Amino acid sequence: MAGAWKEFYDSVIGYNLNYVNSIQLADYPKQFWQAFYPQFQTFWPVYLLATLGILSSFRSKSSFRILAGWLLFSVVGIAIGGYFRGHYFIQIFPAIVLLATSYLVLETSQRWPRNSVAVSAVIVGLIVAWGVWRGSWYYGTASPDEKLSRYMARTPLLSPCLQGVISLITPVLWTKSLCLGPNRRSFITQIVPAPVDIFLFIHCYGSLKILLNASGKFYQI
Amino acid sequence: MLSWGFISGLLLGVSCLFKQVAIVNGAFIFLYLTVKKPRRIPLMLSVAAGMGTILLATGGYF
Repeated sequence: MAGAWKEFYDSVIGYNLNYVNSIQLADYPKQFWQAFYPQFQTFWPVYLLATLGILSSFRSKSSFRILAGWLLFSVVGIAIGGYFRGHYFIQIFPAIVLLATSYLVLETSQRWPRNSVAVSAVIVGLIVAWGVWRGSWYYGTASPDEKLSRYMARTPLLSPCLQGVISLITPVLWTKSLCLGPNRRSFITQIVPAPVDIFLFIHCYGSLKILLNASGKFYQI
Repeated sequence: MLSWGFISGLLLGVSCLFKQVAIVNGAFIFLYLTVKKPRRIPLMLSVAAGMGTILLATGGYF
């Protein structure tokens, strides 16, 4: 691979600079809605909790302000180029899920201090169950080709992936000493973003490519 | 803290090589460190050093 600087530059930078200039700015909203609405139908409870978390940032909750800022920058990331392909939304999942679960833990801690973990677990369980029910076709007996086609065409990546992220992060957030205690700033800003980034951008993206390659098909993603 | 900053920079560098839009997450980290942290300069330098290590190593390899 040594001596392939030109190819490396083209693959990492040059190609992307051309790729992001194909969609007109006026078409961004339409492209966004076409990609966002199908997943919103399934994950509206998560987005609702995240929105309430954002609103909490206006009540001097510094941890929510940090997460809201992280979400804002992540939205900029998925908007680059204006394509809004389904898997692009992976970039906002960490901030969305942390906003949603932080708000959930905060509210349940204030309303039901003795049973906050149990109440949070029930609510998260219902949200995950709703997502599983909406995406039940994925866990059914359809053929791999049929699943792959539907996976890419209708609900690309989102159903299993978001549930996975929720499952991974929620138990961490329940250890309130980390995210709502005195160390919350250093935890959120220095420990969470890096491994979550690496998990999302390598594991999920890599898994998708492996899945597609294993199926003997090639999709331009 | 500086070691976490360096590790964050390393992972940020790798992330940017895999998906270039990760650069906006890096921008957020630097913005937060600029606004919030009392030891902002050493922390920013440690993140930049981590990111630079990955990018320079990758660039050098190719």
